[in-house]
Amino acid sequence: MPDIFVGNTLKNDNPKSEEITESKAEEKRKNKELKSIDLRKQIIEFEGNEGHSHNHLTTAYCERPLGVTFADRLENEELLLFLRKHFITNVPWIVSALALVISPFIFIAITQFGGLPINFLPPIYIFMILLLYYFFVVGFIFVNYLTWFYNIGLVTDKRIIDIDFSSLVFENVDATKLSQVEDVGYKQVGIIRSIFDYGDVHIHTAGPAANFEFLAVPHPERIINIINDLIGKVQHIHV
Amino acid sequence: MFDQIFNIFSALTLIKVIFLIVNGMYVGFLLVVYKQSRAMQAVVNDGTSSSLLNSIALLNVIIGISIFVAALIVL
Repeated sequence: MPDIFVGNTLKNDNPKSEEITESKAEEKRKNKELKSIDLRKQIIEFEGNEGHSHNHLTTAYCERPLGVTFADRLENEELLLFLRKHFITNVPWIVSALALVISPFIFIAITQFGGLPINFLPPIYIFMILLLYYFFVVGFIFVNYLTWFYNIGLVTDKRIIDIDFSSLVFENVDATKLSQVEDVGYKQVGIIRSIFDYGDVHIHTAGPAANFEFLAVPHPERIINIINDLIGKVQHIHV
Repeated sequence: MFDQIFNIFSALTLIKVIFLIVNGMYVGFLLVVYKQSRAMQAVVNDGTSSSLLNSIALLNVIIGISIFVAALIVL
């Protein structure tokens, strides 16, 4: 009993020892924080390819892109992967646009050979109709490009985000935490997909959250490796 | 002869009216495109690319209105 009493009085009488224990606790807390920062750094420092870091008008795959911002970004959330459909998937509408560009010339050639009579129209009418027609073609190209451009998949160090934009009036943004991702897989079927190295990435999530699909994205194998790596590290942090 | 000229004139008027209606509807569509382009830029901003697309969308609207006005005057 006296020992305890003496101990208490010593502790109370010596504020320095209290400070020492407090500083030790603080040191421990700082060490813990540093460890968690190290783990976060490990997540971010996956095998980054510097060649992909610049984003431009035809980019379909970009690791740690520069200058990209998105809505509802969480605090300290870092964007790791920026995905769109492979640019080769735009070929069908590009071919259609080229056909639309050359079709007036074919039409004029037919009329010159006497197939269709449009001679009754004054030249200014023909010019204005052609002007409007080519304006339509520009609109067709622009809308198709915009649809491709804003169909985006994002992988951050915290979440997976799928942004869908189609038919100009439909926009849908889904997001899930990396901790909710259960399984990741990809499908690459066909010669063209094998040649240009693109495929569909499927991400299965736990619970009621929707499953994610990044369709026709470049380097699907690399993407699932990165996501698997992130999932593993996120789980490691949670443990 | 007079009937023939009158027929051509009315055909041209009809073409002008159809032209203006189609162009007017198209300008409306382009306004939707511009609005959606801005909305998507708010969701994902790809830096200069998004701004460039927004500018192209706005330019399309301006050109559409210009063609409409030109058609009103010229045709």
